[in-house]
Amino acid sequence: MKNAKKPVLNIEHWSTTQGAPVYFVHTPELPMLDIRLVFQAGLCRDGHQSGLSNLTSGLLDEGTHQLSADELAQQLDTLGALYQTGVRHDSAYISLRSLTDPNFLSPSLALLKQMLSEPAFLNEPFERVKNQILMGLKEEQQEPASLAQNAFYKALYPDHPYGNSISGTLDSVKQITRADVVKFYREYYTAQNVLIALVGDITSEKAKEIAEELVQSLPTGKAAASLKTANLAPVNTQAISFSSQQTAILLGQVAINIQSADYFPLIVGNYTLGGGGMVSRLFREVREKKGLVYGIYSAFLPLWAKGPFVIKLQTRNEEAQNAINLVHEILCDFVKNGPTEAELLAAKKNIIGGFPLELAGNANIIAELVRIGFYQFPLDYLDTYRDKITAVTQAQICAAFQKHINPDQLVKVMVGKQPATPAVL
Amino acid sequence: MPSQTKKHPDTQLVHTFELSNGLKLLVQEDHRAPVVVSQIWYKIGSSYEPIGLTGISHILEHMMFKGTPKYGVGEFSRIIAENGGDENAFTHYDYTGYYQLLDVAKLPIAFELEADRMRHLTLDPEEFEKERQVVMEERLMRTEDDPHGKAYERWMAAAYISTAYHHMPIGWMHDIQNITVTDLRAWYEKWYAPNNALIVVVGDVRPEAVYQLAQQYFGHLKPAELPIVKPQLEIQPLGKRQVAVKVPAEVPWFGMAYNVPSLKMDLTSIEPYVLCVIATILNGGRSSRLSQDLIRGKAVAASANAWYDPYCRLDSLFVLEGTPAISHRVADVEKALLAQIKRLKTTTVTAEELARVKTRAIALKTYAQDSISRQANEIGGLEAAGLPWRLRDEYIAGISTVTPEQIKTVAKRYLTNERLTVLKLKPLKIS
Repeated sequence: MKNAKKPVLNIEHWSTTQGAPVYFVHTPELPMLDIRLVFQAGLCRDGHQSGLSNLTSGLLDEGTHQLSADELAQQLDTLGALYQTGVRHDSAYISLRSLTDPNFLSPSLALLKQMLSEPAFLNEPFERVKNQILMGLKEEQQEPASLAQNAFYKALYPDHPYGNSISGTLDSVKQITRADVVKFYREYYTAQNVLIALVGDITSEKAKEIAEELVQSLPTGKAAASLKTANLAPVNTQAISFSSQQTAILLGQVAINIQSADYFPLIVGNYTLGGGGMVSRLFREVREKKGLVYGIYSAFLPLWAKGPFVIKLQTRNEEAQNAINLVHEILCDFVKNGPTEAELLAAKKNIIGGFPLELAGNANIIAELVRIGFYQFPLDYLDTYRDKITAVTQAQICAAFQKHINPDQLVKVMVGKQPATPAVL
Repeated sequence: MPSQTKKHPDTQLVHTFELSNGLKLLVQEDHRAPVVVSQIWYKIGSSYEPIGLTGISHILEHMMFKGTPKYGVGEFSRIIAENGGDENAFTHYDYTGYYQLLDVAKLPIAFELEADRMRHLTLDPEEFEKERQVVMEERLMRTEDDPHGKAYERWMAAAYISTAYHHMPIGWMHDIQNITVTDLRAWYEKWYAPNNALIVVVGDVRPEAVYQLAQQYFGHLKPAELPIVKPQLEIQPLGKRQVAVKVPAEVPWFGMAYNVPSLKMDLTSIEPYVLCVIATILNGGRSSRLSQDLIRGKAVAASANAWYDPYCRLDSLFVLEGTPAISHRVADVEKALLAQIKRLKTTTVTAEELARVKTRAIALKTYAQDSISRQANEIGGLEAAGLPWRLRDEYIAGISTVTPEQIKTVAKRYLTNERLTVLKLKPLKIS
């Protein structure tokens, strides 16, 4: 019999005349459309100007050559359209959610096009948004979890852009000029750096027309250069003193890029270690059995140029060292022995059994499309996903963890009231 | 029953059933994907708690994952996880809820487990002592170490004078420390019963089949004799209250909370809808007044928000809050927010502004249908607060009748100094 299985999701894929990839799923049930444009304009493009990608993204709806920020906001709200932007390590996105009634959709799209193609970057909004970001950064200074997060990435990626935090730092943001933003926009928000995903109640023809028009409106430029791969950071323990009752703790290592052959063994394995919510080993041992934490998890964040493996927790100051020791012990055991047969089976059952949840609703579908598109996975990625999970063996998990995770080479960051001597593993 | 054939139904029908033991079941069909959300809501939350037992509903929520004679510690979560489910729980002022998001074929598993822990919780003293530590860690994280969390708790304690909204669902630390397993058992036996619960199911299901399933798993559970819930009322405020919170922080914060009625107190009243319209005018979208005038415009605030919950079981608050922009002070935000209140009372809202409020509500209602969890939350949140789920579908009609004159009248009646509790977070140097 021929292998002619129905795809789990009917993804239509094509390129616009300028070569921008488009991914579309038709969902006829609700009279709405989600559009997301994803640019190679993430924080990895900040260079030495940490926070530049975020500031640029935040200024796109702050006025065009035709409309002020107030006018843009009024027109979008009058149409009931939701506009959103965001910056990630590798990418920056702009999304629009609109009703599909042409009286709402057509003018919403016209506004989106205008924001993409002719942002004014005037001085007033530039200074204002910059100040808002600076205030947000000051707020981060009063939150142990944010302080820990920023210090952790910096220690993990000392000479790689992934070490930057999305909002930048008080010093770096202050130094960004309007000209920097204009340059960043011209360089990265181009037809050569974009992919478009659409999900909703429109025809393929309409989707083609919309994608074509949006890309036409973008400046043309060069495709962004590929990123240099991050090196493993030197072992590094930072104990940052802070007047909180809890210590925020992050442990981790530079791990894998998203195309890694070890991706599936690592995510299946990590489910048992600390990814599986209330049933992971970290949750069971550190929270359920010892009552040391409220939240604890481990995760791989696979990126283009080697993303991190992270363990995150927080515990009362006096237990910080005990908690770290316990986590270290659990990690060592897991790297050495991997999951038990029963744990591996449970992990596969959860990931495979939960697969339909990942594809329920337009918001989930568009997130999958963007992931497939941005990281250039094959179109049958979702169709083969469950088989790839099933195929993972215990030996593969052990080998992958041993290859990528060395429990004695972790970067560790603690923010809280420290005991007299700095914590060591 | 055949599925909806109409392409874009305007409202979705909620099918309601009641078992003979008093358990209420609400089912809404959504056949877009082969998944289901199953939620069980108990009509018990922090607003039922007396002083000395604050936080007990929330601790009990944690203990609900600690096993029954049939399914031991952690078994509930293990079984749901092995079936590909996503689950958690939440404790609110008016209710405690548990949910599972699952492949639709797995719904019976969720029902069986929920039915088991509704009446057969073990409440082991040793497990409780460990979980008490976990809850204390949760409070450290959310409240003690978070300047906003700490300030908000004290602000609410001043704004609510004579109802149990006075304390937060997490409870005071000393109450968390002193609650006993005997207290928990009494609380559990008193409130966790089919006649004090409701189940909401949204997804790729047939209502009649879900009813049969509910009969099968919950039908045999005995109802409890429920305590009579005493009325709680906010007393008439007699003057402005001011709360200053001095904590180690980098950034100041300012808030204003007005004591206002909720819909529960008078279902026929237009006033809660008027307050909803006012909240949207102030804070609905980037064209709202706080965005336009405080964040942009004079740029006195780095962030500013306003909200009002009409659907709570006791009297409510109308809340405004903001963080000053760099080179501005709390006093500037206060002045700007008070100017907004004054404008509501003196200047007539334009037709365009009102039209925007309505369009936004209609669009958001369509968008909300994209998430089955969101749908279930709306139904359950209303019913668990003692309100009919139909209010969900009456919202747009409700706000559509609001006139510019009513906005002025309601603002003058409720957004007054007498009803106001002001919060000022004053940063101390972080050591």
